[in-house]
Amino acid sequence: MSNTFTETDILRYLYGETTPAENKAIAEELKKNINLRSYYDRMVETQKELEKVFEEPDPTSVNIILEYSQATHHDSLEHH
Amino acid sequence: MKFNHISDRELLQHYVQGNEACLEMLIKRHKNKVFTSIYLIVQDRYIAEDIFQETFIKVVQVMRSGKYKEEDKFVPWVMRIARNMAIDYFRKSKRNVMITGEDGEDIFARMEIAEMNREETLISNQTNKTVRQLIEMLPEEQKMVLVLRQYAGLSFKEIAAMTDVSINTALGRMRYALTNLRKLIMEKELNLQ
Repeated sequence: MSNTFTETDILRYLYGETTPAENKAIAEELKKNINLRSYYDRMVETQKELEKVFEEPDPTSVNIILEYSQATHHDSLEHH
Repeated sequence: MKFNHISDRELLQHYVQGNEACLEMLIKRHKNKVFTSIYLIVQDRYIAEDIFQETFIKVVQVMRSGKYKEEDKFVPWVMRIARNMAIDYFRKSKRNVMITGEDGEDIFARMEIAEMNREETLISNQTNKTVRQLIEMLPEEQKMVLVLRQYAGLSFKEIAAMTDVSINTALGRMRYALTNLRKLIMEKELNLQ
């Protein structure tokens, strides 16, 4: 396998979409390629910032969905 | 029934067979990633709540009709519904949205959302809010890939299929999104700690 990895390969690596063989090769490459390592570190840092964004729906929204499901479930039973 | 070890596919099967608790488990399992993604796309909590509800009501309707065929890909399917709901919303709303889409490019090409004072929001100490604002500054096609990968958890392959582009294009957009986001963070001198 070629050890010339691109920034796109690093992205796939960052998001766990590389094969075990690629993981091993990229980890080795990151030890010796300063530029690639620098890019990887910047992306990890950016990803950590993104992980701080977290939202959850209002419980009312979930209840509305569940109530709709239960109501249509009963309806479907009545029609059978 | 212990739900934690049950796959989405199995939960869906049990739900279709009448076990309502399985729907609740599915929603609990995925609600935050789906809602966060919707919220980042529409940038409005109330609209996001509406689209979230409509999305899962559509899920219920499709499941009841027996038309669901993507048993192993629940979240990508839900996100496809949510994204279409968001597109419909912008089409119907008075907001100025240009949807090209013919070549799969720039579905949310331009959204002129009510004027917001970016400088004002950027000085907020709430990192969550600030990062959301920065994401909103990204070009739409980059933002969409970022949201679908980072928050909805779709693979680049799934994103490529959903947005009708090649995997390389999806990866390229993600690369630009992260690079641009990094630049925005540096420009605004945000505290990254």
